Amino acid sequence: MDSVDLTGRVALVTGATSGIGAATAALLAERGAHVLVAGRDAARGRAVVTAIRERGGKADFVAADLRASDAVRRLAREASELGGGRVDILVNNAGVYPAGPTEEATPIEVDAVYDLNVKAPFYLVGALAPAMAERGGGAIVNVSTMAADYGISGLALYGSSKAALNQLTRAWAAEYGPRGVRVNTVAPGPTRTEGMEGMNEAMDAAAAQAPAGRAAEPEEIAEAIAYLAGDAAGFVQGAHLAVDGGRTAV
Amino acid sequence: MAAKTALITGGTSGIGKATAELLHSRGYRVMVTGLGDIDDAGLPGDVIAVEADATSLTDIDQAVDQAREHLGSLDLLYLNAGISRPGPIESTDEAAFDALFNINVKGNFFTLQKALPLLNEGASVVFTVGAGEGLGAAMTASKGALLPLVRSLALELAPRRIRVNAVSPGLVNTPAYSKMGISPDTIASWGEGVPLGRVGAPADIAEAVAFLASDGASYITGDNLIVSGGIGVHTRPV
Repeated sequence: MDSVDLTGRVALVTGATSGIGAATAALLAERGAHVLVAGRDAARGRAVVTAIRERGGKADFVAADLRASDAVRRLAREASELGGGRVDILVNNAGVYPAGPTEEATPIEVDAVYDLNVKAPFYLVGALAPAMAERGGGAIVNVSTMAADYGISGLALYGSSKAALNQLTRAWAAEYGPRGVRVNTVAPGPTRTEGMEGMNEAMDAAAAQAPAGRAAEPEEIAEAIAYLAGDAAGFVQGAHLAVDGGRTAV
Repeated sequence: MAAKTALITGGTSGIGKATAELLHSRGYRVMVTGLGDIDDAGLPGDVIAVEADATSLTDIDQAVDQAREHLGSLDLLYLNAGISRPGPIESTDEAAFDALFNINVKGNFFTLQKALPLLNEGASVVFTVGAGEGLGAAMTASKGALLPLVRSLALELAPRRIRVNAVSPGLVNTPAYSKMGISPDTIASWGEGVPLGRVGAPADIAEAVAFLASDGASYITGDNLIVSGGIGVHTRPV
């Protein structure tokens, strides 16, 4: 299974202290990558790192609140230092997913969603992709949502921010592809994460609309991210991989 | 755990053969169908090859019977058999049109229908699509017809936890091009128009099929995984 082996690669996963990010960090480490676990909550981040190390993997925590652009640049710098001068894989996973009527969103909330879901990946790729290109290659995976692919009442703000991220995938695929950097999207459907606790009813209702009839586990999203990050996906570029139990297909 | 099983149609050359080799290397028991020189395909010795014409429902029946006999049940059905009849509308005659739809649509549809009883709960069905415009309207339509078919079947087979997906290759260097008389240099030159700067290898597509067949893809169904090196990112609709 050489094509899934990530030994020697440095992977930065944002929002990796819980949920899909934590599952992705664990899986990439299991496949041999040195994983940089980025997030706000140091206690949770250290727990993720400890669990990876206890299983023989290599990981470090990097504290980062990506809602500010100077923090994004700092994360890129610190991650490169911790990675021994390189980041080979970037997983743009950090995000917020508020729901609510459009007329009730305040300017501060709107800015916060776009700061984290759009601007943070934008600046992070700007800071890391050129160095990937100089080294001859790299892989970027943007974590989006099925809510960017069809209209859902109450998710105008969230869905539109992720639709912007989907377009960044295509633009970056064209921009950095000729220099060896692969950029792809994973679009999860309803997924059982810590962040969804208390929203189980809404999630089950959403899951029931998909052919699979159930919500995903974070590990199932992580598998798709790990596939796109590795050499097995060496010719996959600008792709949009829905991991939603078939919801957007029907 | 028992070895997983795979039936690959059109599996004696190109993408199908590369997929057979990859899955075999990962411990699958593999059977392929093909036409003509199936014994000279150069596949590993324990990959079973049977001759089957995808336009013949009798051949399809017999191939599925062979799969039942040799493999018992299926974890992967890779519907890869297909033909190319590129050309503009003016030069596409009725025979070419019928051949395209008979193999690419009808043959694959009935292969799946016949193989349904063999598919295990949680099995994976993958179609090769890759319907690039510019190859000819009839050709693109005969492949494009598979996408709504994939989505409908994803819904229809979900109660058995069978996942149905498509893989859409971009420009991939397969023997089909040399059979058309296209030189290796010409094929390589096509890579200049691909964002990743090269044409694909059959193994690139095989890896995508292997991923969709794996437990890692257990929440992916009704999807079309494009493996094109980025061709289409300029124009592809969301």
